[in-house]
Amino acid sequence: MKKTVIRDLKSVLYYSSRILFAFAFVLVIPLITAAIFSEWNMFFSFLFSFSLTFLIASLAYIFFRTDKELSWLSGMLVVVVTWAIVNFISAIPCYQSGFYSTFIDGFFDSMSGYTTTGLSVIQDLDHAPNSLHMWRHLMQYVGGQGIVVLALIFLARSLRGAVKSYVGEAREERLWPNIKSTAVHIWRIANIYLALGTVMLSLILVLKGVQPVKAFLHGLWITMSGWATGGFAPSTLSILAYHSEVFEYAVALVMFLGSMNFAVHFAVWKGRAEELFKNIELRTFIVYYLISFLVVLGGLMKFSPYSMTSSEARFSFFQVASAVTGTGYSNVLPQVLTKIWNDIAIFGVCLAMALGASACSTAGGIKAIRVALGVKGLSHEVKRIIHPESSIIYTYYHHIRKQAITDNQVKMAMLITIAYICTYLTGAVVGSFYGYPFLLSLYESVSATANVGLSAGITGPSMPLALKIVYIVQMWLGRLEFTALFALIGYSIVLFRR
Amino acid sequence: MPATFNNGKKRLFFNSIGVILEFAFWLLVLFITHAVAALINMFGNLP
Repeated sequence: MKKTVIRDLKSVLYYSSRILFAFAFVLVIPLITAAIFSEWNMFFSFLFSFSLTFLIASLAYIFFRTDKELSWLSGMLVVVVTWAIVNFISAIPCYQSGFYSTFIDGFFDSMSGYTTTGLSVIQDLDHAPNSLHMWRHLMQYVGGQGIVVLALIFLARSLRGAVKSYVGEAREERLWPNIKSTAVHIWRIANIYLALGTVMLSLILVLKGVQPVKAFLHGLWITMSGWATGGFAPSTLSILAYHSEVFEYAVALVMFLGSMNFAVHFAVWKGRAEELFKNIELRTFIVYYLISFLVVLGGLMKFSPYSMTSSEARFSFFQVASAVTGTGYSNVLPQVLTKIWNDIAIFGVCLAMALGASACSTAGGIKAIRVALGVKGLSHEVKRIIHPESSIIYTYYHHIRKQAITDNQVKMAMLITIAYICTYLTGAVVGSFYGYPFLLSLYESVSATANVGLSAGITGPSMPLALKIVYIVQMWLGRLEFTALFALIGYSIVLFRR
Repeated sequence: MPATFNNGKKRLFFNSIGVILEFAFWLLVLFITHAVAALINMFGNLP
C-alpha cells in the first residue's frame, strides 16, 4: 500500500508540473504590464518568478514523467500541491514590491487572491505600481475560474485525471460530458463578461472625468475581481473611492453575474431563459439576499446613523450585495462599520456572507444549493411524519432539470454546512482571544472562510501573526470546501501507517 | 468514449440574447430591492 502511495506521489508531482507550465504563462501578463509602464523593479521580479516556475515545472516534468492515471485521492493531492506552489511563487513579486512588510504578508495576499477572498494586508495600496495591481487582480480572476480549469484547457491529456482534479476544486457540476469543453466554456463566458464589464465600468469612469487609460485599467481590474467575486480594489477606499452611486450599481451587476452558477449561464445562453426564474438555487439566493438586506436596512433605520433613508438603502444594498455574492467590495469604511453601524446591521451582513451564492460559480460560503437542500430536506421529513408509514414520498426541486432529493444529497449538504459553521466559529474564537469583540471577530472569520473579503478593520499589516495564519488556513479550507483537507489527512495516514 | 461537446448538435456561441436576459434579470433584482426600500420608507421609520 505504502509503495502504491509513493508511486502515486510521483504522478501527483508530474500532473502538478503541467499545471505549473500554464501558471508560468499567466505571469507573462504582469510582466508585459511592468514593461509598458517602465516599472523595471517589478519587471525583474516577475521575470524571476516566471523563471522559477518554469524551472520547477521542467524538473518535475522530466523526473516524474508518467503515463499513470490519477486516482481520486491523487487528483485531490494535485490540487493541494499546486495551490501550495502557486501561492508561494505568487507571493514573491508581492513581497519584492516593497508594499508588504514580511513574506507571510505577501503569501496572505496571494492566498486571498487565489481563493477570491479579497482581505488584504498590503501597505500604501494607493501608490502601488500598475503591474502589482494587475497581478493582484489577475490572481483573483485566475483563482475564480479555478487554476485547475486553466490547466485543463492547455494541458489536459487524460480525461479521467482531469475530471478528478476538477472535482477537487469543489466544482462538481459537470456541464458537458467532456470536462475540457466545460473548462473552455467557463473561460469563454468569463472572458465575454470581462470584456463587457470592462467597457461598462470604463465608460462610467470616463464620463465622470477620469483619464481614459486610468479608467480602462480601473474598469478592467474592478471587473476582474468583481466577476471573480474577489474583492481586491486598486484603492484603499475600495468602491467608495469612486464616489458614484451609478458605478456601485454597475459593479453590483458584475458581482451578481459572477455569483451565478455556470450551469445556469449555459442554460440561458442556450435559450432556456425560464431557468432564471425556475432554478431553485437562484430562488433561494434571492430570498436570503432580500432577508439579509431587510435585516441590515432595518438595523440602520432603527438607529439612523445616516440623515436620509436613501443613504441607508444605498449602503445596506451594496454591503449586502457584496457580502452575499462573496465579493468583498465595500462602500463603507471599516471605521464607520465598527463605530456607527449597530450590531443588527453587522449581523445582517454576517448572515449574507455566511450563506454565500451559487455552487459552480466563483463565489464561496455555504452556497444556495445547500441551503435549498436543507429546507427541502426538512419539508421532506415533515411529509414523512404526517403521511402513513407505508407511503413512498418524493420531494422535487428544479436545477437545470427536475430532480428528486435524496437522503445522501441532504446529508452531504448538511455535513459541509456544519464544517463551514464550525470554521466560522473557530476563527471568531481565535479573534476574540486576541482581544477583538466577538461580533467583529465573527464578521472577519466568516469573511475569510466564505471567501468574501469585507473587513471590520481586524485584517491589516499589524494584526497578530497567528491570526494571519488562521485566516490563511480558513481562506484555503473555504475555497476547496474541506474536501482537499480530508484527502490530505487520508493520504498522510496511509503514508505513515506501518 | 464520452460524447464531446463538439459532437453534439447544438454549439454554444456568444449569445447576445442570453447576456441581455441575464443583465435584465439582475436589473430586475436591483429594482425589487429598491422598491422594497422605498416601500419601507413610505411607512416612515421603524417603531
